[in-house]
Amino acid sequence: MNPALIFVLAGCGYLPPVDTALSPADSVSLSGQLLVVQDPSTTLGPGHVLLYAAADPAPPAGFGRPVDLATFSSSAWSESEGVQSAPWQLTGVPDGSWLVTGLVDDDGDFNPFYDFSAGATCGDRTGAFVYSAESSSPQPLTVEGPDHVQGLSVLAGAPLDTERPAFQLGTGGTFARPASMDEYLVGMADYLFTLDAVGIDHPLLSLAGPDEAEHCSTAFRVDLQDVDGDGQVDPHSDPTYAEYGLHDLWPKVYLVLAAYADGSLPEDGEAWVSEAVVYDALFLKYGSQAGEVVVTPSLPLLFLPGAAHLLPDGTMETVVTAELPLGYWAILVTYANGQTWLTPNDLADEDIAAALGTEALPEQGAMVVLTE
Amino acid sequence: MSPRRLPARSPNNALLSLAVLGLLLASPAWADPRDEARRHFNTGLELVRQGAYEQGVQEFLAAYDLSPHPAVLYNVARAYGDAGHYPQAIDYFERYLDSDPEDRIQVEGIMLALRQQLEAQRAVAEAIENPEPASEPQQEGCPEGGAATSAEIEQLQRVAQDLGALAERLQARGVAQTPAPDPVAEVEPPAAQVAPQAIDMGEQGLVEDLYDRVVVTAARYGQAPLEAPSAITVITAEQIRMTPAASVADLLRSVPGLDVMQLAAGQSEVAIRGFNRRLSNKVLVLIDGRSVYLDFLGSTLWGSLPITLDEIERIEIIRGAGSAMYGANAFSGVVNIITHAPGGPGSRNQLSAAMGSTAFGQGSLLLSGREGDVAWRASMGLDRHGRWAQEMDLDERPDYSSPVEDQTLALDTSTVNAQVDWRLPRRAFVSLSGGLNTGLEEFYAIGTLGDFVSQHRSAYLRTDAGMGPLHLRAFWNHFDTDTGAWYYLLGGYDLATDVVSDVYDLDLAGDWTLGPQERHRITSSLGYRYKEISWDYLDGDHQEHHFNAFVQDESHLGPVVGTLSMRVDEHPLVGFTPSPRLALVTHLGEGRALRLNGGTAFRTPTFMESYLSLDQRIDTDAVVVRTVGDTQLEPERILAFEAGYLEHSSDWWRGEASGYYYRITDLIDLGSIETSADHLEFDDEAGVYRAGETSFINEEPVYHAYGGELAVDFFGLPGLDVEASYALELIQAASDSALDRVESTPVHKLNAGVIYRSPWRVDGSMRATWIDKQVWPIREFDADGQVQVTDSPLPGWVLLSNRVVLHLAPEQRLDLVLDAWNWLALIESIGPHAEHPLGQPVAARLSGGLTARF
Repeated sequence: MNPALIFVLAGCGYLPPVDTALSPADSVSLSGQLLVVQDPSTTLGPGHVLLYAAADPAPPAGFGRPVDLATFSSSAWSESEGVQSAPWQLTGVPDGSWLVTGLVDDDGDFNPFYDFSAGATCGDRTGAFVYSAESSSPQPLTVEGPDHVQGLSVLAGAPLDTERPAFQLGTGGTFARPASMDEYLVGMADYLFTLDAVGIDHPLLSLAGPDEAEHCSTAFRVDLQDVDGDGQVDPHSDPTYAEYGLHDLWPKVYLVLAAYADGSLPEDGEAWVSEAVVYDALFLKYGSQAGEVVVTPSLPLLFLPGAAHLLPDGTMETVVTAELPLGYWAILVTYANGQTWLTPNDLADEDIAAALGTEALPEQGAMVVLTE
Repeated sequence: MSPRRLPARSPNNALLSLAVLGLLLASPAWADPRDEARRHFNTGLELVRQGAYEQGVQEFLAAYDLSPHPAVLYNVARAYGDAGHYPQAIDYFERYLDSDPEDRIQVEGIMLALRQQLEAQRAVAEAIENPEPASEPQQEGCPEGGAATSAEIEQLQRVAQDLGALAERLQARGVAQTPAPDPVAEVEPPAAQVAPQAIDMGEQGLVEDLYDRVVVTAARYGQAPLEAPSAITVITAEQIRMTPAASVADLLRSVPGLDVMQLAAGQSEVAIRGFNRRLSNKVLVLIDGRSVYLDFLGSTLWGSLPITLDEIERIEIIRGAGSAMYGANAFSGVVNIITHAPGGPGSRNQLSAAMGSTAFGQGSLLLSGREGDVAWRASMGLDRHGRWAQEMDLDERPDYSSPVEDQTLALDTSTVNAQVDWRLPRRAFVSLSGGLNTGLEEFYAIGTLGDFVSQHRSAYLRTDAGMGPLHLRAFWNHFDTDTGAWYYLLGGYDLATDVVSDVYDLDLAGDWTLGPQERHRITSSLGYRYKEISWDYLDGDHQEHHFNAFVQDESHLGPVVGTLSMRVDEHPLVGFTPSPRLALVTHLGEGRALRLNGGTAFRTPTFMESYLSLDQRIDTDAVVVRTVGDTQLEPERILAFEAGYLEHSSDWWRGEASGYYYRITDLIDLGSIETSADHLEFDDEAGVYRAGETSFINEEPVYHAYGGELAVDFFGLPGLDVEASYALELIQAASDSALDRVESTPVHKLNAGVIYRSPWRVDGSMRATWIDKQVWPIREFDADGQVQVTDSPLPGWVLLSNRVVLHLAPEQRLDLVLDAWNWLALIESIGPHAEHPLGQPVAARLSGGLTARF
């Protein structure tokens, strides 16, 4: 018998062929630990590790939404040498650069599947993956599959002592689009509106009201900073925003076009973002000392007649006055620590309210309207 | 259409008739040497009846050469005895007794009489050749009129002792027997006038119908296929010997109306008349009547069956609703694997080993014997099949891992079996058996689940006891497995789970004949089954108690035999479910029968379908979709009507045609995913969010299935068996708004096979199967956690296989077996086919092995 045939018959060294039709796409698995170094005796809640595209970061650096999420239960924590840790893993991560952030939800009200509950509340701990002990800021992680990147430590900080800036639209909010800057300046008083801090009483989220004395109050915390270290709060320190916003002031209030006046939506990848400024801060009513925090239940804002227009091809242009699209603008308030509130949100959705067995909150559907 | 035998006006017309019938008729089984042997045997019977003993014996011996059976030796001995050739008769009776037949006592009596006669003949011959002097004085005690020598006296005394011992044994066994005459007094003294006398060989005449097939599954007792109330196919041991199949499921490919689908080398799914699927759940599989259907899963893992191919005496396959006989789960048919009886007639020990491409390897040892009333059988087997493909090379994919160390094997199992039978007085018996199968197998799970591995242990213990018409059977089936995804993303969800399943079954059956001329045959049984399951895919451990009662009356009403069967099953969740069946069989002449039957069957929800509670992760790691069972499910139900015509009148060919209609309701499947706000709450215990929930449901559409099977066997030329069959299956799903064709069942299927047993030391076979194209709905999660159902077309395919057997020693004592299975896959322009859109490409297997019988 042919020796080759004997070899075949014996099945020696048999290796089944790799069937590319059956093969899953290359991917990257990320795994590591979520770490909490403070309060080792504290009972921690469930952990969440969120993955953001590095080019589309989460607030306050951007408006990004997580593209993947890993979770673990509160029982997953273990303590060693004063550090509490729990393992996490993210699978099927595509090639690219990513930001990995973490959140420890001690009060159990984080839920990324509703926009009103997709943020860190007072008492939660947040953090991010850092490359080394020397670097304390979130660092992007670049991966290429197939790979399994292990040992990624996400360090969560101390519990947040501020509450999310839950609000509803107070006065104003419907504006006529100015034909020119001159027209805008002349009628600036018509472009004022206020946001009023509110409490939320909902099955998935409970926020205290704007009681200024409350530790975790939803009252706005106007935070005056000195980012460039020149000893004063600069209303126009960043040339990018010099004309339209305040760099050294938090919260930021963004208006994001949700729908055109005819009800149509921006294209995929397209965005219109304007920024409203805290009117009282603009005129230094809150003071001018860096580090000063003003707590207020109502935030007076000035609509600015300009917006950044992000195009689907990734380029951006700046438009002003008559170039602004008419339509409905969502309102996003962001603190420096990343805590946010947005209207409209799912609290106003009647279908979701019905599914959750509660009443919809129509005031949480408020938007700024720009008309002719 | 009523097929009929066409007159053969000329040879051409005869061939044409045969060809037409070949297209119209379906055979109940492959032809095998037994069919050719039957032709010789029947010729022999006819010749012996006409007094042509010598020619008759030659025909008997030709039959024996083709298909050895001890009863042939009995007939040869009878023929020689009738012809007065006592030495040859005694010789063949002795060979017959080597098989330890039940009528040993009677045969020994006949042999004794033959020996007496032979002695008498010899004495006469001697007296003639050496006449005693007339003047010699008579010896005292000798019978008058003859002279006995001392040797003759000694011989007579020995005969007397034999007869005395025989009488004692007869008495001990309680066999009614005429008291043995005084041998000495009966023996005639040698005399010149004594001529050969006709020996009384008892009431038992020649054995007839020896090579006729007997089936037991269609009515729970032995009957000829022509009498069977259901469409039944038999695969015999000889066919298994000549078929290049390496598994029980692969053997079933040749059966008309069966869908055999291999998704991996270690996984075969078998359906009857459509509705095949991953983890097929509508066929009840039995081994010697013991259910091996995995009740918790609703499927049969063929690779885990504790049986080797060499142990199988035959496989009986019933097509059609079988719940009236076997209760739940005999939904669209029954596969009953019947093993060789321990120490049975002609049984031989066997050792075989085979190796081949794709890491194929099989080995088995079968030992069988009988000592008096105790018969035993022991076997062991090893079965190994390499994977046909792997989804990825783990060395190249650091993002994945696998719980399986050896990535090359799809099936790697070991099997041991043992059985001991005791034959007791008054036709009573006790039997004990047990077996174990352990190893690894690859399979593709249901729903959105993919490639899985099971590392299982399957065991059973069984006891049977019978006395007269009563038969008590009890068995314990155990199955446990460590199962999980074959591949999983590192750090991801591996779906690992442990299953422990135990089933205890008790069945008491009776079989009586009643009425004038035994017109009614009543069969009945009472059964109880206890099932328990521990499986962390379920919402907890569960136990269930099941009860059943069965009664059947086979009535001979003139030319019609009616079989009315009724079984009632009590299920803890479903309640009482009756399953009636009425079958009418009438003979349209010698060897021709028309069969009509109608009945219902059902499949009860499995543990999985009732109690599942499984989170499946979707693309987002933290989000799962929960799949749950439903304890309110209705059983799947089928109402079946069937007509069949059987043509067995010829010793040269045989055929069968069947047509059927099924109405099927309440099929159980996974429903759509219901997303609700509640499901998006964080489950701190599981550490995940639930995006939705899906549960098993009873499908709304009513399914209508129509079809039939047509085929023919031809075995008219010495050593040559040819078989061909065609099956047509059409299934429609009728809902309020639409009537849709179910395209996952192939409409057309063709089978053909040839076996040639040459007069030289080589036999060969070829089998071909063609399956029509199919379209399968495949469920997958999209990024939002919603199930997307995609229609995946599967082109038609052909599977062609050959076997060559070289007899290295006479009487098949040492055979070299060479197989080329699915060898079309080796042709570059054709390549391997897939039998399911998610299945692996079916690789060719070239293998060789040795089989020794001793």
